[in-house]
Amino acid sequence: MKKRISFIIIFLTVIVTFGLFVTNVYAEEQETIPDVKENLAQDLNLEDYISTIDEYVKKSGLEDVDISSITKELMSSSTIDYNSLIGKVLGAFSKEVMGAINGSIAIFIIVIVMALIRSLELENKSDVTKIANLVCFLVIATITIATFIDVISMLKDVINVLTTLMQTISPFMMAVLIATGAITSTGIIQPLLLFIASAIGFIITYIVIPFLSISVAFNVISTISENLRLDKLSKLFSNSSLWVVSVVLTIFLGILSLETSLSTSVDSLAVKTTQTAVSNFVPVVGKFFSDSFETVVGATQIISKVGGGIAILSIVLIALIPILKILSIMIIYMLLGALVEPICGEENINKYISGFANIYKVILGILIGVAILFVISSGIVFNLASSVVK
Amino acid sequence: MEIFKVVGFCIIATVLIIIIKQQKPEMALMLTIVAAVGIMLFAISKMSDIFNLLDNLASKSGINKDFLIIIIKVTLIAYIVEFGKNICSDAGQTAIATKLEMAGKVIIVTLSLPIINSLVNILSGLV
Repeated sequence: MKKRISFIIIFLTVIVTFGLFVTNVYAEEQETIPDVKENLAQDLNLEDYISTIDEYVKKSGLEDVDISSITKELMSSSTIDYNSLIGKVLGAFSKEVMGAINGSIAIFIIVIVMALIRSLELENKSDVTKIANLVCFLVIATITIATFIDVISMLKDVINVLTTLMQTISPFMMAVLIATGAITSTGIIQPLLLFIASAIGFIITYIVIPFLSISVAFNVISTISENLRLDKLSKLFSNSSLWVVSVVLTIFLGILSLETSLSTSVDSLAVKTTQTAVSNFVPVVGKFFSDSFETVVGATQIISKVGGGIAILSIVLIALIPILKILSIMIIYMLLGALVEPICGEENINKYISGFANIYKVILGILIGVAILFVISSGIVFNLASSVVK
Repeated sequence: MEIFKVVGFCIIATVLIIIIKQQKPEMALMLTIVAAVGIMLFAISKMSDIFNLLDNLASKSGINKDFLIIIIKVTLIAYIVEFGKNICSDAGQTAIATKLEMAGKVIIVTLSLPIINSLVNILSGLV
């Protein structure tokens, strides 16, 4: 009870200062809501926040996308020019597909050589052709594993960038949330969000990537050796890494949505109580204070919508280039697997390539899952801003 | 119409060998080997077109050519070794045939050492 009283006192002071600030402005220049919006944007460091995000997006490979101009559009007209954005994304996608095709042409040529060796075989299944085939396979393994290592390091980088981005977004989110009065929610959400961000990085580096590497190793072994069949084991390892990520995703989102829905009602009760108390018990100016409080909160909500929109957009954009890259590699490998079967009768190679396609499918699932986790959690938090004072 | 040349050559060689075999069997064996080597050389000269095509494809795609050269070498060695092995075993010398096969395997493995090396290097980057 004592805590609640002290909390209400603090809140009263905050509102009174806000109110004084706004009334002063009203008295001097008769400022309108857009000016309140700009003042608040300055107070909440919107510009710094946007420029940090802009840096991250530029580093991720989409150089043409200008986050700050999108922000201006959002602030003034609250729409995004999707056409130009989609055009830029499609351009990036076609570049990635071309890169993946270039890498796979080498594999294709080697498969043709293997088909040649096989069709010109003088004696059925002679040892020399077997060794020649093995050498060809070693080259294919070198190329595919080099691609895999590239993808894995890219995955690590993206997860790293997304985690640091979450750590950049969360202080801004918390500032906005406190400005709208969601104090209890902020206390619960801030540690939860930071925990999610670091836990995801930990899980990806120490569980998911080792599992994927083991899966690749089993895939190579089962292709080289005729007696050792480890296809199923390889599949198990790659799929279980996907399960780990999806379970973590479900648990985090469950906790986050539960906590926010519980704490929101507490916050809105506190804000309503204070508002009523101020407008009823403070004579003459009390009503004016509580009304101007609503104006300030409304402007903060607009800023939070802009900031949240930018945060979600940037998470999607940063994850997009790797997702497109992995997607194009996966599609090319699937095509290659389909082409290898009729060209060269080697079932091993076919299995190897489709096994790799499966692994890339899993990586794609993991990356999309993590991106969705971040998007939904920041969406939930930014929605909180409008749920306290309606 | 090279195929007619090859078939004609083979038929004439076969007829000659059958005729000679009744008088001098050891000369017939010589003739067999000579005819076989001739056909093989002809086939390999044709094969260079295939490898040129592969080379072209590789240079267009801009991939690492070292591996492709090794693979082409390995393929050719596999053919030649098999061919020699077959001639040896046709002449009844299976002992030499197996040694030749072993030598071929060793040469192929030695040639593919750079590939194995780069694979191991890449794998060590994974850890």
